[in-house]
Formats: sequence, C-alpha cells, structure tokens
Amino acid sequence: MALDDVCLTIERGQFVLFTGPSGAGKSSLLKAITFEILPDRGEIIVDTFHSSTVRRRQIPFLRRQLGIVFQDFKLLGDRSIFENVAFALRIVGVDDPRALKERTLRALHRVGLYHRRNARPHELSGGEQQRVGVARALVNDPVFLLADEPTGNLDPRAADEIFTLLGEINLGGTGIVVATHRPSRTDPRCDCLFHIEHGLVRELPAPGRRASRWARDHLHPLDSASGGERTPKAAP
Amino acid sequence: MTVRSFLYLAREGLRSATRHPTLALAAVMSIAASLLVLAITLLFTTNLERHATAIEGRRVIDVYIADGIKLGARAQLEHALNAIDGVARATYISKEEALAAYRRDAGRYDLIEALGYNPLPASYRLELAEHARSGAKMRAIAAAAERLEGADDVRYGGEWVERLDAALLTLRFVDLAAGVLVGLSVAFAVGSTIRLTMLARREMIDIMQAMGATDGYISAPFLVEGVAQSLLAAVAALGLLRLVIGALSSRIGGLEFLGGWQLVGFLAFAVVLGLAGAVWSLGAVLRRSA
Repeated sequence: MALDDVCLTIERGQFVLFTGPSGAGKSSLLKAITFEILPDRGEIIVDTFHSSTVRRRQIPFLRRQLGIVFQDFKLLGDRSIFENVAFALRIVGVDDPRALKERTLRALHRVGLYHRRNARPHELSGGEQQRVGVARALVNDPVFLLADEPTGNLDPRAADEIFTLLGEINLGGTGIVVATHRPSRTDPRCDCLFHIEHGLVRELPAPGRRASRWARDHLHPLDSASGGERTPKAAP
Repeated sequence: MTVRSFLYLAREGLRSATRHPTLALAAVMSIAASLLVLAITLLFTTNLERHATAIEGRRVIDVYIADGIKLGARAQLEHALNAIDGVARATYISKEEALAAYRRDAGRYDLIEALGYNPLPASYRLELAEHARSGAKMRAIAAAAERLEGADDVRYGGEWVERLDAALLTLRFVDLAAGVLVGLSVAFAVGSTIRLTMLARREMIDIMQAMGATDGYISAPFLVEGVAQSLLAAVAALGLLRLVIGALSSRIGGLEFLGGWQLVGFLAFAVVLGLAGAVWSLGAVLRRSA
C-alpha cells in the first residue's frame, strides 16, 4: 500500500503507535523509516540520514540505530537463543567473546529469558520467541525499536506481555515505534498515536498511558469516524 | 573486518554447505564435470605441446656449400651465417661427417661405395634461436642464407614446419575457447548454486539486512561457500583424471599428468571462477533485496 501526503515527526524516546487495518500502509511506513523503501516524492530524515541523498552502502549504518522486531519473530532455528541474540552483535562487528557474552546475556535478562539462553527457538512459546526477537533488536542499544505487528502471531495474553515489555523498554529511554492493527488491551506509555488507512495518516490524541486504552475503546474494532481526532501535520 | 569475524563468517559459509548437503553435492558435481572437461583439454594440450617442443628443438636449417670452397671464403660464410638474425649457431659439417651421418642413419652405403667417391656436400647446420622457429621466420633465414656467397643450396623442410605451426595454433585456440566456455559454465554453476542457497537462506539475509549488516558481511559466507565448492570440485576433477591417466599410461606411452605449476594454476583458476560466480549471483540478489 502506498502512503500519500504523510508528514510526521518522531522524537527520541517517544512511544509511537501506528494503527490501522491490514494493508493500510503501516508496514510500508516502517519500511520507509528503515529506508527499505524510499519515497517517490518528499523526504524521510532519520537522524543524519536523508532518503534523498543516502547511498546504498550507508543504509546499514542507519539500520544499526534501529532495532527491528518482526511479526513472525524471524529467529534462526539452527542455533540457540543466545546465538540468535549474539548474531545481531556480530553483524555490527562485535567479535570480542567477553563483550558478546556480556551484552547478549544482559539483553536476554531484560526480556526475562536469561534462563532459556541455551534453548532452541522451537522449544519456546510464541510469546517467548517474540521476547527473543525483542532482545535481539535491543542488544545493539538502538535509538528506536521498530516493531511491525509484534503481537500479530500471539494470543491476547502474550500480546499484552509484549506491549508491557515494550513499555518497560521505552521507560529506559529507547524510542518505540509499533505498527499494529490490534492495539493492546494493556496500557503501555504512548506519546503519539497515528491511524493509517488507505495510505493516509491521521494523528489521534494519545495522552501518554491513556492512549492505548483510548485506542482499545475507539479503534478496536476500528472506527475511523470516532471523535477526538486531529488532522495530521501539514504535508510537505 | 577482523580475523575473528572472518573466521566466524567462514564457519558460517561451511555450515551452510553442511546444512544443505544435497544442494552442495549437486553443485560440486556439476562444477567438477565442467572442470574435468577443462582438465582433459589442458592435459591433451600439455602432452601435445611437450612433443611439439621436442620437434621444435629439431628445427634446423641446412646450408650446403659448394665443393672446393676456399678456407677463407668458408670462414666468411660461417661469419655471415652466424650474423643472420635468429641463427643461434652455425655448425660446420664436413663431407666426411656427412657421409658418416648418412651411413649411421641410412644403415646402407653400398651405393656410395659403388660410386667410389663421396658425393655428399659439406654444409652448415643452423640452430635457431627460440623466437626464430616459426615457419615464416625460418623461410626468411633460409632466403638470407641462400643469398650468401658460397651457399649452394638451403633445406629446412618448410612445409611440415608450417603445418606444425598451424596445428599448434589451432590447438592453442581450441584450448583458449575451451577455457572460456568451461570458465563461463563453472561461473554459471557456482552462481546458480549460490542463488539457490541464498533463496534457501532468504530469511537469514532479511534479518541481517534489517539489523544493519553490510553487503560485504552478508556476502562473505556465500563467497566462502562458492570458493570451497569450486576448490573441492577442482580437486575431485583432478583426482579423477589422475586415476584415468594412471590406468591409461601403461597402454599409451609418453602420456604425462599435469605439472606442479599447472595444478596450482588450475586450482587458482577454479577459485577465481567460484568467486566470480558467487559475486555475480550475490550482486544480483542483494541489489534486488536491499
């Protein structure tokens, strides 16, 4: 789904939620933030990287500032949980065994899976696997953690746990950007809430922790005609 | 990239081959088949060239001199022959030496005995420098020698020399063409295998790209895999050929296996082809999936 007339700013440390039905353009927006897709018109600026001038070989360095969590976890089944998380460190050039071990275990500890470090992905529940995905995204201390439908493959309880975990991570200073068609029933801190439909983005009121409750009440099932909406910031 | 990182990536590459053994085996076998064709062509050419070189060593020009030539004139002729470009050495063969050689080679001399005198002329045998052994060059030297005073006749077997030259040229051309064709087919086989492997590991590549891996980092294990496959295939092809040559050498005399440098060159060629195939394939896949 193509996005049109989008203008928004995400500040460091914010918890931002993009909601909207499947195919609305949420994933496209996240892909645009990681420069996986580049806009035909306009510009995306992430830190010092500008989509209009960025070179292909610079994109990996942008992505190192963004931890990415996938809907389907994308864990490597042929290695342990520890190795899955350490893999993200190796990619960015960390090869000192002590640093690898220390940082990997710290990330696993943050998501509460230190004790499962030697297990293989298939030995974990869906919720646990997604926690590993979060640990892998976190291990490089990204500025933002981007999650595309992180609870899409989880039952409601596991989904709530993931949102709670993301909220905790956000409290630690890491910005969180989540795209979901199903807002959580719990109350993660949420600074900005955007609704995307047919490629158009509207900003909705999202006063901190009340945002997700608001989203649950008003957008689940999705109701784009609900009150309290604001028009998005002016398009470029 | 540090040595530790490189070793990790090399391990990843080899691990990939063991994770998809059927694919890896099929790749090694198809590359080995192509390389075997190249090795056979190389072996054939090497043996033929070896024999050709032996023949080339026998490329000489005989300059017959008139009977009764004065010593001074002969010395002048010898000097002039040695001065011709391409002549390495002019050796005088007296009438007596010519007769002795004739008797030795022909094994019969009753005809000459019957004549009652030695009809064979004295001559100079011109040994040629390496750059002057082509048919055209020999023709030029023979013409130059013929013009000299005291030279009666010049013989060098021009026709067979030029035929041999043409045959060797054709052979070298066939060799080159085989090398290019086999090179392309090996690069294609390696490239296709790497492409299949990349498709099998699509998810891993997606993860790596999402996490900020550079193209170089993503490529390294595949390059290792491509090189390892080509090297293994080259060793297999050479091993098989060695066995065949071992079995045939008792029946076909003078058949020799490739020399040390040729083997090293062959393996290096296989490595380069493996790398080329992998790079070609990786470039296409990575550009599509960035």
